[in-house]
Amino acid sequence: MFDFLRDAGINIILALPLIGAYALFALGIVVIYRASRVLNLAHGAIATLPAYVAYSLAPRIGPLPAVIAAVISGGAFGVIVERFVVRRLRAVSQTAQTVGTVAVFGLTVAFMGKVWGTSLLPGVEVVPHRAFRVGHALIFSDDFALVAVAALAAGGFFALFRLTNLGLAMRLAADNRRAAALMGIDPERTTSAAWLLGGLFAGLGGILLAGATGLHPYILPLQMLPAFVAALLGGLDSAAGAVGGALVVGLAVGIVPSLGTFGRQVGAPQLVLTLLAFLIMRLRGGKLQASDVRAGLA
Amino acid sequence: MNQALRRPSPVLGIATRFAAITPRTRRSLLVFIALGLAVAWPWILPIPLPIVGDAIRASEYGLVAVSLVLLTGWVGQISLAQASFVGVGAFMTALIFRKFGVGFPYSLPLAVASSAGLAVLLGLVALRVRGLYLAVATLIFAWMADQFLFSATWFVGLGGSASLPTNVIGRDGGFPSFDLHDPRIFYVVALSGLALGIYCASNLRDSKTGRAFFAVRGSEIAAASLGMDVTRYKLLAFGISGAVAGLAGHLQIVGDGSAVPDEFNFLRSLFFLSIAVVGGLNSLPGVVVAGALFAGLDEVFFRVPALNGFIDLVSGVLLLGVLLVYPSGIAGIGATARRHGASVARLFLRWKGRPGDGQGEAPQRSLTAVHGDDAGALAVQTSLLDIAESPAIVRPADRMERAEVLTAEHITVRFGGLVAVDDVSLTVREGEIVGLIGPNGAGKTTLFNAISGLNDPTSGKVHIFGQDATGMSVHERARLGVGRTFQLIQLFPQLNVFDNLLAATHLSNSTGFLQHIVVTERSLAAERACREHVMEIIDRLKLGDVAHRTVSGLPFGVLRTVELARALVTGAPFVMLDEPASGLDNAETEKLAELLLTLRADLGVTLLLIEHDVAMVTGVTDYMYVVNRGRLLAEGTPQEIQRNEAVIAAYLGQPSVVEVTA
Amino acid sequence: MNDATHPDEDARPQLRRRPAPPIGTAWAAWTAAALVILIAGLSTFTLGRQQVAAPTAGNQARSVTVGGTDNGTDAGSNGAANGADASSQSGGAQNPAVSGGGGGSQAVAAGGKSLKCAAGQNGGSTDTGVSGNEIKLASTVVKHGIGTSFLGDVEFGMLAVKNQANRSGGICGRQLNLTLVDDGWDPTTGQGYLRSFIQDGYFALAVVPSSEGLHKSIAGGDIDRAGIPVVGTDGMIIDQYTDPWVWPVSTSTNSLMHIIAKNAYARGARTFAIVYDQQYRFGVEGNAAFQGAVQRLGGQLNSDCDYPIVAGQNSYSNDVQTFNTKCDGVDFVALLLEPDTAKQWVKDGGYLGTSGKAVGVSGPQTLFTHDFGTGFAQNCPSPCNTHFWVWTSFNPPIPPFDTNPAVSGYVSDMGHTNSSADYENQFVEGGYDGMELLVKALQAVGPNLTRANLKATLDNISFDSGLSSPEQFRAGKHFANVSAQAFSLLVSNGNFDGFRYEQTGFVADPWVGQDAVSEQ
Repeated sequence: MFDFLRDAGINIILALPLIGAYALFALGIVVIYRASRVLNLAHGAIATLPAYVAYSLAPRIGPLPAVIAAVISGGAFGVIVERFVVRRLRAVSQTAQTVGTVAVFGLTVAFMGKVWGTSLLPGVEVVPHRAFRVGHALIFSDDFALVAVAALAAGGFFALFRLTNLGLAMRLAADNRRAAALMGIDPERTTSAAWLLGGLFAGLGGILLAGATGLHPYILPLQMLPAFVAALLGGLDSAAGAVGGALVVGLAVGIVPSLGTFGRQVGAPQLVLTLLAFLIMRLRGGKLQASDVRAGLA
Repeated sequence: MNQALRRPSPVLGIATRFAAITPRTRRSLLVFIALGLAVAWPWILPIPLPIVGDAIRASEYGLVAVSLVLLTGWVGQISLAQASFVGVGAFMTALIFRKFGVGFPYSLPLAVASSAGLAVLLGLVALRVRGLYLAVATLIFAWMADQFLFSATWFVGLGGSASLPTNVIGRDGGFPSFDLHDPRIFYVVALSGLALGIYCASNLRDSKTGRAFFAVRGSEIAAASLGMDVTRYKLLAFGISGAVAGLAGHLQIVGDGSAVPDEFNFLRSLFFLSIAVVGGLNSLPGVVVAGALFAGLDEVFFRVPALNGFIDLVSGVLLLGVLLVYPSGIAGIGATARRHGASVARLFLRWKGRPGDGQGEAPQRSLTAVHGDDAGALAVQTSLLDIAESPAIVRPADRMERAEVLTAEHITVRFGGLVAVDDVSLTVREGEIVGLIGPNGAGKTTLFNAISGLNDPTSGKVHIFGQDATGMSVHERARLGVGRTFQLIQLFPQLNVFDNLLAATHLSNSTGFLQHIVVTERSLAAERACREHVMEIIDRLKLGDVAHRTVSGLPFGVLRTVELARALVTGAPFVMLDEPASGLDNAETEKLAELLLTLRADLGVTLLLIEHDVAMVTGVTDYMYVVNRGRLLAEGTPQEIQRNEAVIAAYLGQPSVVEVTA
Repeated sequence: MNDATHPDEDARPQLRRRPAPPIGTAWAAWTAAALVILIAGLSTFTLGRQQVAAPTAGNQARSVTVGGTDNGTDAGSNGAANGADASSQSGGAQNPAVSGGGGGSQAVAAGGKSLKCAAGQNGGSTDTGVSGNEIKLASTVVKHGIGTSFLGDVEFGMLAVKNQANRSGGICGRQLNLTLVDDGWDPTTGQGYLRSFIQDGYFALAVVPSSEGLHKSIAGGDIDRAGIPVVGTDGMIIDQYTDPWVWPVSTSTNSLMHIIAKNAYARGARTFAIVYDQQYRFGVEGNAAFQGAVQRLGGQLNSDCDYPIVAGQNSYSNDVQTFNTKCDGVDFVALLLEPDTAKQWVKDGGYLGTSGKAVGVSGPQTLFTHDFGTGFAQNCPSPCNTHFWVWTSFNPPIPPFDTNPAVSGYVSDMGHTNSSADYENQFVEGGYDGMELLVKALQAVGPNLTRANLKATLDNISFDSGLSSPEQFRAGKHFANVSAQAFSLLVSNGNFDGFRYEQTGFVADPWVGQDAVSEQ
């Protein structure tokens, strides 16, 4: 029994790198969704481009200034996407906005591949690299940094949405732009602020992750897929949920493969996570609600 | 213009003769010619075989895009997993051959059924979620399919790819035999598949099922209130879309001879979505053209060395460009071109001295254009001012003798700690017009929603036409005979006025989706009957001039009328009206009152309405209920209510309120 | 007329407008017609090719044997042998085909006309894609997307050989025309392009480094149906070795894993483990081969230590934990992973075998890159006393092979073609070698160049370019390169110091073709 617990504990700790990465991505997704009701499918790309920027700038201006500049560029990228793509498509439909972010994703990935090539490049090291032995495996300071930043971000967003005026304004503007405008809140600014924040944290996450695993124009952005699963498990609406979801996803990916013959099947963790996600969605949804009545043509 | 003396030029003669054929025949002729050309061109012209290969690819892309039009364009369920369904169709085809030795085309039904089944499974999840949650659900599904389903050797086969052996239909060397490896022959197969998909989708769109799809997209609440089982239609949409995508996958593996999992990953789903968007998400012809465009791009990038390798960048730019600059996509271009073409043709004919085409340009039924505005101006702006006929106010006989249409007993609705409705009972009797009034926040709408099924009451019972409807969903109550209008207009924006009303004939049309796809005589007959019924209501409410206009852009008063008309079209004997006069001025409100009375007198409908305008309500209703702060304050005839001190106090806000229960 | 809704109404109001007919048919018709006309016009006026007849049996009438001797003899033709000697001595430069190519012998074309291996006398258009002065070859390459990192430079290896051959006057007076098109390693696009090549009438496909599309084409039967030779491939997947129209120059993953197991056993390993990419074909095939080899050797491979992982993750710590717990102490670990995954596995502390016994760990040709070496060096927990061996089927430009004339010729040719190309990359060298096989075979066929003749030549050829162990192809036996040699990664202070030859020589696979994973 004790053995089992100890093994489980070890496995949980070893899953931290995955958890940290997914949590940071998921948080950014949730912030943007909560404050602008847009599903940002370009999130992975918004996270990766700053990592490349840091990589290019670091030899010139040193790693720390490069990282700072790169994180800012991530925020700027988020604002640009919001301003020129998402905002313009708001009048068309939500579907169009989602597809718009898809287009940004594809374009950015192709661009990064063309400019920096598709070899795995070493990311900029933000945290001094140290290895720790846990059980029979190794875990690194980069991974802890990821988790720490994710936790900080989660706390920060929680505080933001619950405790600050800006957070309140964001939530209001997301639910009803017109009403918010009537109350003196500028929905455009809150939306931009949300995307700025989302982009900043995405960039930070991408840089940290690249430091841990290297820069690749396809692999890195596609980490957003498990992050979406994490965000959904947590409800798409809550920062704490995003972290919780990342926990579940990281654990599943890390631990399921060692659970016997079923676990060793290719894609077993993904199947388990999918079933879990669908179960949660079925339980959470309900009959048609009065709140589903949209403002129509009036 | 002296027609007798002028000899028509031969070209123009053909043109006018052509124009003189009835439009239906003309269209059929064009279709026939076009199809013939489409099939025959690889043999007639010296087309290089790679171009034929592109045409095959274009057909496959077009077919997947058609499935997306159905699901995402019409029903509004965004799908990021379409490539997964294509893959299921492809691998199932190979699996069927591996296990049972059954090849093309006999493996088609099972392959298509499996992709449809998987899509329905995804749809089951979609039922519970809305909007962007659904997008994430499809994303997760695509991810799972990538990682699990298409990596499983029992499904894909060993060796990491699935293959189909040589396929020859018929006897080899004998007659007739078709070698499917000749691109020109397989092109006919692929084109047939595409034509089949378009045919089915097109038939669906103009049928009851299609209207239900648009209704579910436009407003699920309103759709349910018309008796549509929203659940069923969403599942149906997923199923049909999955089937069409599976058909594309089946064709793909038969044509390619093999399939690898990488071809059906998440990025591929995004690619298919791009094709659909570039084509204009609602338009069948648009996405077919878009499919051809993307297949053609591949060929261009192959032939032109300088462009080689830039296709990812270019398609990304293309997609973004279409989204930002021209959201209606190729379909929009087509609609604009058609309008310009029509006006050019008219000008041309006029210049030549001929009158314009007698048929003229009927105001476009903009079923396909998302952004198109209408050709031709409409002179008359219909409003409620013109509708009412002479009022005949009928005072009902003794109330208690009439049958009960609606009985709500001790309804309590609690939201967390807040009690929105507290033990309210009301009864509506046959032929009555009953009003429900109260100050803002009194709980009127919550009570309304509890009665119509949108909210579940914490306690209490609802009986409709004698049946216990407490547990019933909105559409089940509609089947009992309840119609409804909404405070915020819930018309279906994708449909014009006529089709909005036609959607309301849902319950009286008993044909099913299969009959719609195949267009049986019975479904055509039912369609005709429904259209006639709608025309009657249109005439009655004088909506004829706006009948073929899109709903958006119409004046508010007209929209209110249309919503009312829609409730009437259902033929429901009991209609609930949620603030029907809100947004109308005094004159319009008066006319509305007269209209309601007329409708009750002529059609015998029973009405229950929420209203703020106390004067209007007292003028039109037979019985009233007043609620305040969730409790029933008073009930009685309008005269009794007008004299009731507690009611007066509640409206004027005096501190001492004595609650009276009638 | 049925009236389901109002049975008691009599007068039907006149419909103001007829309900419109099924929407879109006219629109669809116009669109279809316009599209048809547009495409027809474009293709007629810009491309203007005549339809290419599908290759039929008619072209196979001539079965001229190489050098006039019968099939099955080892030396093949005198001409071929001459050609081989010449090429191995001149460091990759192809002798002008005039003399070395055995031109005189198969100089009889259809119709009995006498042909000579020279411009103007070579019989002109002897087959699809062949003319009096040109041989049309084509291939797909990978220049964007995933896969560019290890396949992107292969085209330069191919071009190096082609340019040399053309500078020397071509083959029997025919210049090599090599068309390269980037398909981004996408299977659908790749298959489409290969089909276009076939239909456009190219004579043969060369090397085809973009293996995804090639795999789909082979599995789909395109290659066999067209009867188009695919020469000099380097994709290492089994179906390239079993298809009668494909001649690979590299050692298959299947053989490589046999060799790795055999060598480890010879060095004293008795307990084995393997970590492999379960999503990639080479992983699954290699794993099966490794299992079979260990079993035949009498070694021990626990199922716990037969460990599949998923490529492209950012952390393998949990898998490492499981694997290390179960497999700690195993003599030898095989790492059948692509470079990025392998780096991450090493970094996360994956157990790498008992280096004390000098057995340790091995990886296949995919890990033979500078990039992996660097990553390994950075992540090997110091002090790094792991002997990581990587195996390759070629002689890389690394001591002691850099002085080998064939190898130095390869390097200088690469320098002339593209000075920044990674010539240490074994896939690049493989592309060069594959192209050499093709050129040599074309020379051996001589002026009467048909696909059938090329196939016959290749199915009877001995090929010793000096860049690998000597290869021999026979009909039905395309496992020509069945040996590999090992290098170890030199690491000091976290830096990668290059590859060191481990004096294994070319170790041959004793179980060629066994343990192949096939379709049910």
